[in-house]
Amino acid sequence: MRILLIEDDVTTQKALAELLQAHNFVVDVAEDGVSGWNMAKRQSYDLILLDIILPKLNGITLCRQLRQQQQTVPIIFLTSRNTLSDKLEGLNAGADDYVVKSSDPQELLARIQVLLRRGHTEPEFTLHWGELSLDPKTCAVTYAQQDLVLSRKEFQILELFMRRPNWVFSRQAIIDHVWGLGEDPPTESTVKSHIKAIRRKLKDLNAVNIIETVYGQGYRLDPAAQSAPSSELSFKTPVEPQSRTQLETQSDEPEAETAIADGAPLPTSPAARSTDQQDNPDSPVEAPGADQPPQSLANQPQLSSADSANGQSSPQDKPQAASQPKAQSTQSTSRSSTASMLSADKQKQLQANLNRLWQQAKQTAWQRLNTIEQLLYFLQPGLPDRGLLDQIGYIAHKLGGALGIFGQVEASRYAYQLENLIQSASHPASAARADQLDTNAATSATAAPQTPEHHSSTFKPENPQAAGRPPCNAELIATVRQLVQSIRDCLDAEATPLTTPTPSQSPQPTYRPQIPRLLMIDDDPELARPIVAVAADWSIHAAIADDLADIETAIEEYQPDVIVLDVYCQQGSRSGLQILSQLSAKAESVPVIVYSYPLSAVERLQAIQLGAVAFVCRPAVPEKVLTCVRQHLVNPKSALHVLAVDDDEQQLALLQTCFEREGLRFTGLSQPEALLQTIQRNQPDLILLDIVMPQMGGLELCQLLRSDAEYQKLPVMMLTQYDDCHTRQQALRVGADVVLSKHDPVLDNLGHIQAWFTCDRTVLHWQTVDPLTGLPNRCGATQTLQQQIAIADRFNQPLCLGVINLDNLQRFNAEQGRMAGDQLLRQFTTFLQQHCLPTDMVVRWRAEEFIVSMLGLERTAAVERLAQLLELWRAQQLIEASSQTPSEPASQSDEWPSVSFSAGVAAYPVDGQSLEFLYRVAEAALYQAKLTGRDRILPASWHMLDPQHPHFEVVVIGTDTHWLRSLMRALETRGYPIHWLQSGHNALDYLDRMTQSSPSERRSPPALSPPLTTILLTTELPDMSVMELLPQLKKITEQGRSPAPTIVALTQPTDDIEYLRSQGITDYISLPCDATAVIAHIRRQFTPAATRYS
Amino acid sequence: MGKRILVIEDDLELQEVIRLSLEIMADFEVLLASSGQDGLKLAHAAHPDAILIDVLLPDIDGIDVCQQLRFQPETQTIPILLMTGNRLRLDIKRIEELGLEHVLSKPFQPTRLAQHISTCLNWATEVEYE
Repeated sequence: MRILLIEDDVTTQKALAELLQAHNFVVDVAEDGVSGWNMAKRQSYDLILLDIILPKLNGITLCRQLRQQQQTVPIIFLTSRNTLSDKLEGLNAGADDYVVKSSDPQELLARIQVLLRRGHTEPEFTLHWGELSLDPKTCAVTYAQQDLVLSRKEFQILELFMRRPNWVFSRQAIIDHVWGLGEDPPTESTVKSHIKAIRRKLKDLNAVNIIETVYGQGYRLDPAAQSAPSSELSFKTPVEPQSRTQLETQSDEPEAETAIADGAPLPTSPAARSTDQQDNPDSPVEAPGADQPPQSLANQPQLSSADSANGQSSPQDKPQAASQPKAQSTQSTSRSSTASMLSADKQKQLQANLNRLWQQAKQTAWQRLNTIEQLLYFLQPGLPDRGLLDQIGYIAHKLGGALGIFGQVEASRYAYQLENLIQSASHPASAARADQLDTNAATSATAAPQTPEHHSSTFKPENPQAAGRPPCNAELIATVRQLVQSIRDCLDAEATPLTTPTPSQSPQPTYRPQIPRLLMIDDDPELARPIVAVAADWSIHAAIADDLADIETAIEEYQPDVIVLDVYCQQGSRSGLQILSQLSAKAESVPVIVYSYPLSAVERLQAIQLGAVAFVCRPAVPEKVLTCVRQHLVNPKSALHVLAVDDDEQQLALLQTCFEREGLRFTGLSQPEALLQTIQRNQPDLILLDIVMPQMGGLELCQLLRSDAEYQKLPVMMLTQYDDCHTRQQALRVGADVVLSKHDPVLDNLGHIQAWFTCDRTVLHWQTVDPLTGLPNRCGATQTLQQQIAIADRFNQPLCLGVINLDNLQRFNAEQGRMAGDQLLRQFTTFLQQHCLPTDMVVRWRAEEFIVSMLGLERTAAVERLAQLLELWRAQQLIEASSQTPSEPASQSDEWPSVSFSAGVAAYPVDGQSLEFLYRVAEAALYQAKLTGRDRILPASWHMLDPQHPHFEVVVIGTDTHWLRSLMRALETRGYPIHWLQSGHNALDYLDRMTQSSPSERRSPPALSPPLTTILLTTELPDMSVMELLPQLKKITEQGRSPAPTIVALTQPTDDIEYLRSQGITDYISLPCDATAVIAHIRRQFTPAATRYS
Repeated sequence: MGKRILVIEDDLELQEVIRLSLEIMADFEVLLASSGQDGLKLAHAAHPDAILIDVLLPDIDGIDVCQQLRFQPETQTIPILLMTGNRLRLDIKRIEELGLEHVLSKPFQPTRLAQHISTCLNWATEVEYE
């Protein structure tokens, strides 16, 4: 396809031309408006890319002139002006689209494709002509499923033919379309030899006469070749201005017959044409008897817009129509039948397209089902679902919609049932409506045409209140599995997706979870079993093959992604090395890791030559083996992340296109001063720096990185225009790893960069770092955490493990979208990193669960630290919420922030001696925190209150003030059971009851005895003065059978402290003071006697 | 080329089905957007004759997109059709407030989609069926 680019900025010109040429477009460039105008008049283009501000003639005027000249070529404005009025002006001038220069190059390409597609109603994915198919995106050409290898020009010529089937192209027309202005135009014999080459290559695949020579005119695709079922798609073929004249004079009736008989794209029938001529006097008058050839398409552009009667006729009505071509009396009948035929044709065409699309949609449906299976794999009965159910529900929703549209009514119904099941499980409040939903899904799946009345009658408002989520149960998981299986069965059973089956239907993919699979080949399963047990925690499926005689079957059935082999295992005459050689012959793509007792150098070499990829010496802990397994499971290219810093945004855009096409993740940064923050946020694997930048150049940035303890090992590459020895040396001296020249093609540089990625450190980095947050993941942190425990043990230091879980993240995801959820996770990560000490380690353990290890902190202090973090986080969330909705600050501040967190804290060594045990204890505490209402930090061994005989550790006596409430909230955050009494009389009654009952009556757990209570007493009470209250209080507590509570007075400056002391208060705190001061005080009260918080 | 319709739908296959069905059956010009943000931008730039919006979108809720469209002078008059797989979960109050009268239940028949849209919006019949 030929594109005219009118752009005066040379850099943009080059970047765009390169981009478009890389996508097989022929690009002509004009540098000003006038030359663009001349070129557009001289040559027919498939699309024009037009800048607005141009020398000599501006883009808007040029566009208007082109439209005044009746040029229908699609025009896209490409400009840096981004205001609405500019856009309106551009579109009103007659442009078809408007792209801002700073937008993504992929968007520009997509928009170009949209416009090109719109012009010709061509299929999105692959062009077909009979058994010949051409995919413009992948540049793959096949004939009858066999690959056809073509040169670039041959490909472009064939694409030209296939994009305009039925058109005849003269050699000159082919040159015009396929060779750019910048290239030397070839002679016509070159075209001839290209055509010859294509024909020869086609002939090698038994395809003869695909390209037909039309005598004296040129070449075209032979309509006779388009007889395969895949060619059902018919094309609307607009007229090419240049070829119109020559085509109209051409006559070739027999071919017309052939084309129609073979079901080729239908040309206008004589009857329809005669109607056309009457409706359109301007249309060329045909010579009587000289019937319209199939290529005569002069009237066809009106087909789509003018009148549905002016349609294509079907093969069936052609003889009748031909016999009475001008019968006026039958014209109206003919018109209506043609209309229905047209509609039938359109439906047929749509069905053919949908059938084709269904093949693709089916793959997506399978993938979605696989994802659900994978998520199910991680659901544990009795444990919270950690948001997995919501994800399953979302996928089921999408699945239901897609399947229903492709006519898979039954499967769609199951998918909606699944969605409703999940919905009712995760939000029990809406369970009552599940049946209604179910019925609705079933009726809507019948896909009756909907009417507006039907809509309004079935609406029910959504209940926005999401209830608490119960842990998922085994029954639910089983039902979900059953429904997924039912959908699979439906998809398996469908043979005819819509109307006609496609012969080239791909075989059904068998279900294969995407969890990596490890096969342990060992004759002693006892040795392999620990690894299999731990593998589940590493998200690896593991199995043992101990029957060495039948390894082949095991591999075939299990299809492992990696094999661990003990080379000393023996079975009959087969040694481990023999098995290894068989393995590499049978499954050469599967990496084999040798796990055995130390081998000699000769044996190792032998094993390497037989295909072993790594050795792990016995005995080794399972983690060591699994680390090795993970290294060989990763596809290093898939998630590697490059951060490029360049002040030239065009250059960044170009790099982004190239990198993303190669499957790399890319972040561009045009402000060098924000480098460190960007690295911290994105955690790239490699930095690409432009040497010359206005404020801070690449050399300075590199120095900055190399002086940073965290990033000094990050690979840095420099891009420079000055490809001299001095610059290179300078760059290497400041710490760059590689210096690349900007003059080299981008793809060459990409090669250098990819070579770096094979380097172990980046691969290891990726394996151990969570890509979303940049924190170490479970795999990466386990070893360090174990080391910390060892350090704590050796130096007799306390160590605490806090397991943090974000509350209501699923709800947040559902309300705000998953992208916002990801953003929140990143924000939370940054928050944790900012507020934790350098000695703390922050880990993203899984989903919304984080771990903070706190070396040197006792459990109480760790709870306090996390509680302070929680309070800070709440404040931050409140500020954000109010800044987002400034109009409603009151309503926002009334409710607590939507996403808070809960945590459980376990201390080494009192709560557990190993990482696993500590984690489990802390997780149990976290679970308690969730159960008691979330948004709090609980220490391990925290016990819920016995509702019959509650024992509150803190009793607060005081009237309702904001300060008192914040104090109580702070206490709750730290897990203190509190009881609030608002008047003196209430307080006396309550304490009287409490002190009279003995500890045994309270049935409190033994760990809690002796029960200790702190009474926090404010000196302003509504019903009595504190002077009246204290003597009675003292009397009650002295009479009590349990240890007397400590009474702490929260005093005002005017209070007589000495008198209060004489009346029995243990201590006093002068107000105003911070809640944390009170908490520290309470903690001191507990410390000597209690064991719970020590 | 007939009416210009903007389709905001994140499922790429559904997008393609809708595009094909509208282009082939009614010769509508179809603009596609995969997210609410893209949809809003396109609605401003291209002034479609109607907008077809999925309720469940990855970034912004479909109804929020409608709300934003209704609050902008350039787009407030464009007819909107909501698509949903689950009518019962729609917030009817908001829908009524925004004046969204047309809701399409998924799944729908692709061959009838264009006609349905034309009927809903009282467009002169451009699609004919036998």
